[in-house]
Amino acid sequence: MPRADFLTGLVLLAVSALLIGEGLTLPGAGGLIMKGGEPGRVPLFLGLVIAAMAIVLVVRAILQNGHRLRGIEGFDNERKRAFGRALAVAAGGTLYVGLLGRNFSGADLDYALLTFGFIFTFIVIGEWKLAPEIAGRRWQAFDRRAPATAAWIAEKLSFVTRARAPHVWLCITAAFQAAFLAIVVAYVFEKQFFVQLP
Amino acid sequence: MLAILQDIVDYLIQTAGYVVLAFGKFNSLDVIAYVIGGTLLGIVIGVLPGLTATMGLALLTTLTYKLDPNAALLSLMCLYVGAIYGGSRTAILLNIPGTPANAATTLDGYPLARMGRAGPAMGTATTGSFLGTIIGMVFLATIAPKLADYALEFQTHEFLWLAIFGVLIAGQLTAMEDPIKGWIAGFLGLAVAMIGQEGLYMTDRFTFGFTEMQGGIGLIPAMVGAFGFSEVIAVMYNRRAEIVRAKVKLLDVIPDPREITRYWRTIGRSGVIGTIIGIIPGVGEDIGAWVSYAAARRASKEKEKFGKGSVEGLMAAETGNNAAAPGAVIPVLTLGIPGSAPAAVVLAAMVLHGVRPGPMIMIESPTFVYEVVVMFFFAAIAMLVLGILLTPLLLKVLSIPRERLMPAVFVLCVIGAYAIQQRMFDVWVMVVFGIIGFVLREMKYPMAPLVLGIVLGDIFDKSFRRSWVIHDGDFLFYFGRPISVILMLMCVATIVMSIGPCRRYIGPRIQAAMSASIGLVTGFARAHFVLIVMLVASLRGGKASERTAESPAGAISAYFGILADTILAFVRAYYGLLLAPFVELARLATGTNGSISPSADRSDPGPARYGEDR
Repeated sequence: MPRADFLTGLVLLAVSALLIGEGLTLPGAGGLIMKGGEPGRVPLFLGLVIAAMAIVLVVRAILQNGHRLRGIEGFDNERKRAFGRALAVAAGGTLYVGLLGRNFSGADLDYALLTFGFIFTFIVIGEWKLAPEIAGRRWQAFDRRAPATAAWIAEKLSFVTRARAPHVWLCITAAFQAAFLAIVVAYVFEKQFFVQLP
Repeated sequence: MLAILQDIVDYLIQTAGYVVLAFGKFNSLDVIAYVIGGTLLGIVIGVLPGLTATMGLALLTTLTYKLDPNAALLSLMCLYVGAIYGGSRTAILLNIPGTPANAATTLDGYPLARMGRAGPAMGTATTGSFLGTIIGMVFLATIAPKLADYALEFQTHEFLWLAIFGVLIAGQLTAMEDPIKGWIAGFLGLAVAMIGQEGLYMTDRFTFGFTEMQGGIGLIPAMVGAFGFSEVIAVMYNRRAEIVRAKVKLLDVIPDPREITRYWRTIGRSGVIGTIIGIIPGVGEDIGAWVSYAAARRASKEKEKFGKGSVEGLMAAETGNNAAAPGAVIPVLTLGIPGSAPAAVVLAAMVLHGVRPGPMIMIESPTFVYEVVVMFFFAAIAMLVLGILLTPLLLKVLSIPRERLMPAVFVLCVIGAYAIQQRMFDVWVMVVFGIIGFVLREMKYPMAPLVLGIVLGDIFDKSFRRSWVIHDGDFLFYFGRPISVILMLMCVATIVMSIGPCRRYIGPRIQAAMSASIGLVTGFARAHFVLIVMLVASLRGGKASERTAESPAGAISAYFGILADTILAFVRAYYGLLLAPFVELARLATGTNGSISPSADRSDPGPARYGEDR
């Protein structure tokens, strides 16, 4: 934590420099603004307060050897995987938002289609490794609840090998959920709340 | 004395009348649908780990913004109460708090579940949550109108110090281990609120040439990001929760009325503590639960059971967090300042629906406070009924895998942020706040002060500059108004008390002084009671219990004896608090030994508590 505090302290010092800089450079509107009411006064004050706290954070981190950035330990495989998952979610989410409302080759990307793609990809990537365990359990539960439908699906997908079956079943359920959510969200917001979807 | 009592009774009767009248506003059948829908959604959101009341409220605000204001706010209040309660299920069964407000519930809820008493534990949580909401609701009905009247006295100076105090106390209480991180979060929130055109001269600040930024950062997109998207990332970052397959019968969950009679003191105390913590700006339900739990443990006759499956501990935590929900709405209605992060969304939703919360509420919309009271009442009833009836369904909700749930939550975050103003800028604000929120949370920076800072930013900015303009930069004017001085001293005290050595020195003395103050009041009451008993006894020729009083003179002597003891304890405690530091300084300066200061003696165990015999 001292290392993280040290880095955060530096970032906060930069933020406070921005606040102080803006506070000092904001115009006084050619004498129209009464003394004390300048727009830069509060950012200046906030910049100074944040700078003071950032200095406390940095000094405290230095006293705990937080400034020695080399040799970051403690990142075991589990932590790296967790970090990778978080990064993938943040990147995937940002990509989805970035694609919303974009125009490709003269055609707008449809909101429902893009949402379907996002949810489907999220579920499939997230559950791919666990598919043999999870999908098997889900199939058994489905077979118990709707044996006729299960038998019909099994017959239609008889060409799928036993090894691939869990992944196929994962894709089917993911597609079903993604389609359902995308259609419901698009319908409710567009038709019920009159929102012009991006 | 009788006149004061008469006034209080009159006020309570008048309040009850207004509340009854407010029920008339909710006389359509639609109300039932909104109450059931909102509460059920809230309980489900609370049950699912990773989904919080704040996120649920932020998303539902966007879903209800086309509704009639009363219907929309009713749904939101029901979701609020339902979510705080729903988290107890997860805390009991999985040892993971469903919402941060249920963290204290895990301490005794999970051990009870492991003992095979998951059902009764859920029943206790239901009782506690219901009674907590009702206690908070009663305080909301009685305190809010008076507080709104009092808030009319507030001017720019008071709002300035109130904003600073709110950020400081929220930072202090939500980051107990490292208050500076809480303060940084709060001041960053204030800084975020500086983005856009300022309210006095319409000058652009931090817009960097982007026209979209002139309108500032919207509270709802920022909150959806900080509590929604960041939660999605955090849930995927953390380890997968092990889901416990618990078999709970419906009959087990039905609350036991004997618990209410057995733990009525704990329920009452936790309800009051929860409400008070709720009123403190930005602090919220989680701290309400922790403080209630700590107070219950201190006062309990079964201290050793706490943390090992104490029904009393579970009751205290659940009463405290649910009482904080109506408590947090009190400052929203009367000052326009949220008592917690979910209350900040409620504040934004009220503004969105044309209600102007703040000191003028009792003048502009005098019945609105009582309508909110009725909303909390409906929410409490629905929570009680649905919490019991839908137990099997709620257990199934717990087994939804995160990979299936989180993409749906993210899609709702995106459309929720977009729907209010229908512009992509708000969606990007949500994404940025989500990523920043995740990083800050991982570095132990609390989110509640950040949100409070964003809410208070405008008030702070205008009050800061107006007060300087009005008094031409004369700082001494702040000392001319009593409320301003009290708030200023509270700010200083919050900072001083967070400094380790100061806290260690002053803390016990403040505690002693407070107990001596309570002792002074109870001592006076006891002395008068004893005097009357002994006078009656001596006149009848019998013996009194406290001291032998065979004559009226003896009774009066005993009376003054008790008074003297009480006053002496009071003076001794305040001497420790107010004078001892100066005596200590003088001792250090002069190099003398303990002869002039009682605390200079190293064997001195510290300030005396009231009633402690030394």
